[in-house]
Amino acid sequence: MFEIKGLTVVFGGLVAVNDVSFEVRKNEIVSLIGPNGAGKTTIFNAITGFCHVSKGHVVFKGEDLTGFKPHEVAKKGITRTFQITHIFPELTVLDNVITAANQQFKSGFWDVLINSALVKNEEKVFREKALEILDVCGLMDRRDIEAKYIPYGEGRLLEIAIALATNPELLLLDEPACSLNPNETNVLMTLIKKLRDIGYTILLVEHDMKLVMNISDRIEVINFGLQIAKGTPKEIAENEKVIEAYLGSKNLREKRYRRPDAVTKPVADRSAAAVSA
Amino acid sequence: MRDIKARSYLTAAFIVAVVLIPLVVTDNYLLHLFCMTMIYVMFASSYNILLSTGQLSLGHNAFFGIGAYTSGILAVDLGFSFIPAMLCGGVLTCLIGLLLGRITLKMRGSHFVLVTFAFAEIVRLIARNWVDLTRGPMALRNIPVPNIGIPGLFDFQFMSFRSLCYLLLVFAAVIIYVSYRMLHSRYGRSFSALRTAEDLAESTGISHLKFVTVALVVSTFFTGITGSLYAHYMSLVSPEIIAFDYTIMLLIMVIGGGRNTVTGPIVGAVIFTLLPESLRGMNDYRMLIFGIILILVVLFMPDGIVPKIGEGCRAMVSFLKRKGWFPGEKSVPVEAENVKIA
Amino acid sequence: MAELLQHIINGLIIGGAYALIGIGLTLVLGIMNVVNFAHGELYMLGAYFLYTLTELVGVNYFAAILISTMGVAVVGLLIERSILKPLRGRTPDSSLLATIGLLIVLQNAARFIWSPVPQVIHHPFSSRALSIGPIMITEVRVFIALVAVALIVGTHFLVQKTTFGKAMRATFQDRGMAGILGIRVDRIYAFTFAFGSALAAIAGGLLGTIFVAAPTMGGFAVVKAFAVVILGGMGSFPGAILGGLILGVSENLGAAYISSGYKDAIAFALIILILIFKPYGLLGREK
Repeated sequence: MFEIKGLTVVFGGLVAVNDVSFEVRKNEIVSLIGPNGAGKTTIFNAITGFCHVSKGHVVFKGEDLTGFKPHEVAKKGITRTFQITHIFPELTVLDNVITAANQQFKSGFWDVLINSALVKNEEKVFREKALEILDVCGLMDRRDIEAKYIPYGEGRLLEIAIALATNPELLLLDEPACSLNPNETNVLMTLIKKLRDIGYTILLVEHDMKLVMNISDRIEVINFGLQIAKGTPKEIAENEKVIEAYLGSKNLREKRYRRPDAVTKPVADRSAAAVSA
Repeated sequence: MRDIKARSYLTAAFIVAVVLIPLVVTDNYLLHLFCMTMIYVMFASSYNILLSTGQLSLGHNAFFGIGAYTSGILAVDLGFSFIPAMLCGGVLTCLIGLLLGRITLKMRGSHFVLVTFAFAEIVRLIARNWVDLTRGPMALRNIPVPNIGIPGLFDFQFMSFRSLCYLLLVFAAVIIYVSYRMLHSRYGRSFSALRTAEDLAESTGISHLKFVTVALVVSTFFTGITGSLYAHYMSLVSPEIIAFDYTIMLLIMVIGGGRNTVTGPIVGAVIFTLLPESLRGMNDYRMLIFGIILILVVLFMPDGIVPKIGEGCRAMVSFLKRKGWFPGEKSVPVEAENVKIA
Repeated sequence: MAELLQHIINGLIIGGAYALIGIGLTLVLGIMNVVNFAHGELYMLGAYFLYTLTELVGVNYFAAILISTMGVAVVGLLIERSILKPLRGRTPDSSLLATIGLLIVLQNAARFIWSPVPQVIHHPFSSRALSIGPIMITEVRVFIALVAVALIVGTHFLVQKTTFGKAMRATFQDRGMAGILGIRVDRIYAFTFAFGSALAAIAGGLLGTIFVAAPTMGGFAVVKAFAVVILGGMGSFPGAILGGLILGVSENLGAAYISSGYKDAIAFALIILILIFKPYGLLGREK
């Protein structure tokens, strides 16, 4: 459904992204991981028109979107979130989501002025849609609170809700777990899986390995702008190159992330258990 | 639910009271005060529509003046009757506003403020120096009172203070209605979005240029209309109405009353029109006091009076509920649970 | 030809004073990110303090200039501590609105304290005019030119060559970083505002001497100040100098050859034109 082919981004003398290719199939959750400065956010920026593409193509549902501007990309069905939380602080949580759907409103200035039936109907329809989205994201009981008053973790969820309001097919999440505590990260994980079950396709950039290992169908590893590995979480956890460049420790196995209770057992036992499994 | 019902009854009662004032009051000076209050309510509400998009204009006194002069000149020199003159005043003000908008709307923050300030001063200088058109400091006089009529059929002249009160009240109601519809719709939400998080707003498809232009058009059109009404009410217009002092009044009314709300500018206009009158003896100190008030408002009540009143009422109601004085759930308001993350 | 030169020289001298006002404003704008509408009133206070000291108290003119400048610097400090500091975390609109309020307060206060009648400030120079080639300059104008040049050079020295100046420049470039590096941003702000006020005050004293001291002079000055700053580029020191000189000369030439009634409109027109066509000014850069 979505593919980048030979993507290369050069800034002056620096090759930030070097011939990266991968695809994201419908309903998949694919994660982009790599050390800081590896080029992951640059890839996002290139896809969504926030920076230029030096070489290569971005193809979505058979259509070449390379070089499209951000709002054009959004119109085609790809929406992204950002590392720094972007919400509308003085609107209620519900209004945040309704406002994000602004482009889908058909009523014009005069309709609004006379409060025509069209306007009344639209407000009702979009309010219901927004409530559905809030429900999915678990923000229903915050709906009438001004967004500047909700805790940081919920603000990140609201960001995703805002992205959903623009009716995307492909969601690009840029470090959604940034600065979240373990509880909040769990809530986020559940949400992302739920979104995939509902029908969204998700590509995310993330540093939180627990999250990535737990929810990804496939992982792409980037370092210094180059692809150094791709595969399922299990394959990546065992990939020597990845471990060397990024994960660092030989003890990191896929199983450790799947069973939190295993953390309390001594290391020797765990290795033994993994070998025998 | 109970809150909403109570609020509607209170509002209805208040409106009835206001409508009855011109009938009950006979003192001409007080009726004049009522009229001036209505004019300021209109001015402040129109200004607020643009301010809610985050654009601080220091040029609205000039728009007021353009509306006043246009209507006055058309009536005096070309014999226009009231309604056409007023509409032309509104439209011309709106067109000039659009022109200014074209130039300035790519500017943000202090650039926009300075250009509108410079614009206002230039308009004032023109009003003072283009004597052939505006009569300059000698003032444009003998502007006829407002009238509604169909030539040949009937002609109603608004001669008495009482009739003028009602005319201005009707126009104030219209502008308040427009303000309400704008701010409580997707336009209002978009204005808030643009004011507080422009980048996010743009990426969800809310175009700054498009929405602020709409706000500018509505705001300047009604400011022009208000100016015309003023011209026909006072029957004279002098370049002094474009003084910076009036911009200060406007800022105090809208910001002190409560910007970005519908009732804020109304409350602000009422308070700051009536207040100086009760301090009649201190007329010389008027602007000095207003300057101090503006500084105090910015320092201590930046969101204005209306939100504070709202908080106070809610706090009082929940306090009474907890004490059992009010039949209602003894629930703690939701706001108290959340820590404000400033 | 001599007449043209005369106008230009006169314009440059006035422009030097304009540059002083502009430098004060641009420092505050660049370092503190505050649009100070009350800057013109500090200029006005400089003139009135000078008037009070020379005419009412009888202090020697040169000493009076020094004392009045210090006095306005103190006023500036008080303003910064009591009004601008509490507003620092808020949106830039807040401090802008507060300075507008301050403008009104100072202007009207001056009207009460000193009466609305314009006052003359007497200076110790003779009215003899020096002639340099075809040009005639009165002694007092020479004095103004010398003071302006001295102050501009002195400020340049302060900002570029001293450690404190370095701290100021660091704060101008990156506030947060400066704080982390141990620079007392608080003190920089207080000093900057006081210093900017002092520059405005001297300019007010000087120009008040050759014209008059009136409560409305602040209103004129603030427009000139903004025109200078916008012309030169907000936050640009050399820009303020250039802007001041250009404004001074164009006003003089405009008044002489076009019309003196609309002389003040030149500043307004420049503001609008520059903001449309070169919004970052002649020497400014996008921040």
